[in-house]
Amino acid sequence: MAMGTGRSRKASQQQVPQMSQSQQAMDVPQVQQHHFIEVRGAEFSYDADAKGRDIRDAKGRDGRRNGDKRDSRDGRDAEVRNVLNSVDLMLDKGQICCLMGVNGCGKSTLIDCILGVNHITAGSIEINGVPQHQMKPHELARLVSYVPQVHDRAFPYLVKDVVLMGRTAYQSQFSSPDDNDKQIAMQSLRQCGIEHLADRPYTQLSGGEMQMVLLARSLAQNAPFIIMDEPTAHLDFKNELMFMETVTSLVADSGIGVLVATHSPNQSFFFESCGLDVTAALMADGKICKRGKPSEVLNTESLRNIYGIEAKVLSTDLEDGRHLSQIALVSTAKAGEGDGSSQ
Amino acid sequence: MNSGASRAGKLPVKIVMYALPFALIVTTLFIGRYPIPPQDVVTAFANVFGLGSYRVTSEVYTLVINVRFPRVIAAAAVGAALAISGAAFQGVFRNPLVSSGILGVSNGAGFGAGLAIVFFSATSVAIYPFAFLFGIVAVAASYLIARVYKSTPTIMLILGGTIVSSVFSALVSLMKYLADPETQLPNLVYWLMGSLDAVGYEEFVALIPMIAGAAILFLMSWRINVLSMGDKEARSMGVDTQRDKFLVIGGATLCTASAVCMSGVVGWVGLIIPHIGRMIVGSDSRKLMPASAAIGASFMMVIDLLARVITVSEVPLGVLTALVGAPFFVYLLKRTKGRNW
Repeated sequence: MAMGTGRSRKASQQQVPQMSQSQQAMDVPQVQQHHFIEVRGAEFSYDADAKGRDIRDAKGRDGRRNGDKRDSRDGRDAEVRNVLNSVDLMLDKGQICCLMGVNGCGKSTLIDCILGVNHITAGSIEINGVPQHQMKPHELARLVSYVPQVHDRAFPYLVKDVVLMGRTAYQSQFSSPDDNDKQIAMQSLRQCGIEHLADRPYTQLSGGEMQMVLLARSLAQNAPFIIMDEPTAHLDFKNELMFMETVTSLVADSGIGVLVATHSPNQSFFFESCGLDVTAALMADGKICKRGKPSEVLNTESLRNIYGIEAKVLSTDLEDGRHLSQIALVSTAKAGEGDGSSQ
Repeated sequence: MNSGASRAGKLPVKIVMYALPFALIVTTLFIGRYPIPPQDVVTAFANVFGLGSYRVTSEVYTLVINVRFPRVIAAAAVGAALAISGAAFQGVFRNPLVSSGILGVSNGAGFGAGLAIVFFSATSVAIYPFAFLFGIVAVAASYLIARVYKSTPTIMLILGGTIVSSVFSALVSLMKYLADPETQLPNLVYWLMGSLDAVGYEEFVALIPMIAGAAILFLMSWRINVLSMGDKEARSMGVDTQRDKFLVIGGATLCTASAVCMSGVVGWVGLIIPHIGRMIVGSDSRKLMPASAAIGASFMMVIDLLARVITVSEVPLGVLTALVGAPFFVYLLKRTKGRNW
């Protein structure tokens, strides 16, 4: 069996693609088994214009965002703030990645970049092996759907109509969803356990019900990956748990991949205790500074470094056999011990 | 809240809503300050096709066929066009308080009309190209101002519209200042207050862009729903927000600009009619567009009927829409307690 030498690589792939891959992984990434979403060296700056691509190594010195005086080509001083600094993130279906970090560390910006709302100024984002900037919005929407933190309700649409909007990526420009789409929307409502809300105006819903509607809408989109931006930020305990349980079953049973930005590291412990393939990605200064299993990455030291707090990780065995860790907050870090910046 | 029952309860309302415009087209033909016997009205129409048991006098024929009929059709078209463009703008701007004039089309068209009246002493259909062109120019300017961000965020569009509106409103004042107070000024002021007085078949040329714009808006009605979820969410659901907003704004501008050409500046219709539509059929644009068109047409026909019958000289449409529309809107808000439509 030809283990790809440079020349016979193409031929060998066709015969034995599995075997040749490990050898080619380094130099021919496009034929390698790719991750579903690959973010490599992504940088972003709100101040960047066409010259944005020149802006590199605006390395963080203090604070959460990096203010950096830098001479631009025409000699004027330009304040450059890189919100994202060379972010690498690999995401797969059937896994859940919890993105954590202090306010303003770049979580939402990273999400916006993956969704194509913002455009990265350097690096690359590939989704299912295709560079994201080459995708049309409806192509992207069939692969990645989105659950926002809050939804500003302008008009009293019926819940079923809101969920039906998730089918837009499958409509041509001037057409609207048909009966088949309506069935898919109803199915999504059932999956989230809110079919009884279908005929209610969504302006009358509670915050918890609203997030479920948005989750159902993203399910109707039928995308293998869902990105959520602090979806439980405004929910009470029970609604938060219901939302997390629904997400858990989506990942475990439907094999959907999830990237969730969250302010609650405890959520990643919850997902881990449910037996999901969880990654915790800790973000600071526009970089992913630590990633791995929640039980490995989230500890007293990393919490001090990331959030500038003193905290303890407590663990307990539950009656149903799950092992659940939770973070107990102790105090804000004493001056000098940790200033919230990356080390 | 049993929606099934309330939906069924609204069925008669919906039937009336869609039947009313046709009923009004017919009935308003029989009403006017110049009394015409009903059988003469019917016979005049029969005469058009060479039928009828007798020929009506040429005076009656002209009044019914060349004055009342084109006028009522124009009223229906203007009302429908203003209402659907208002509904489309409210959806795209996610704001129930915007109306068809939000991007400056009315003031732009007003300035165009002023230009035509003051410098070319134009009347009726000769004003159309100017009014239409500057209506489009105003919206294009608003759109370009909003593009400073490379995308067109809603808030920037509204700000752009506000800026452009006030510039053109100043230019309209300038036109009034320059106008000959004996001949041109009354013409211009009358135009700005809105009237369908002079509409005949010649003026129907404005229906062409109006129908084109309306067709775009009807085809885009599902996208308008999705756009009303906000730029980011619409994009994440697969909408090319930039392009779709451009299409909706373009369609609504064609509608409004051609409506303003025919009737002059008529406020309120584009603001309140979509709300009345939402109370009856809900927020889904696929239902709201036809509903707004029907209600807007009916509303405008009634307003125009009032304009020509309540006093000896005509009452400006813009005055009537505000005087009738505002209290009616307050009544509706009170009845629905400002929610749940």
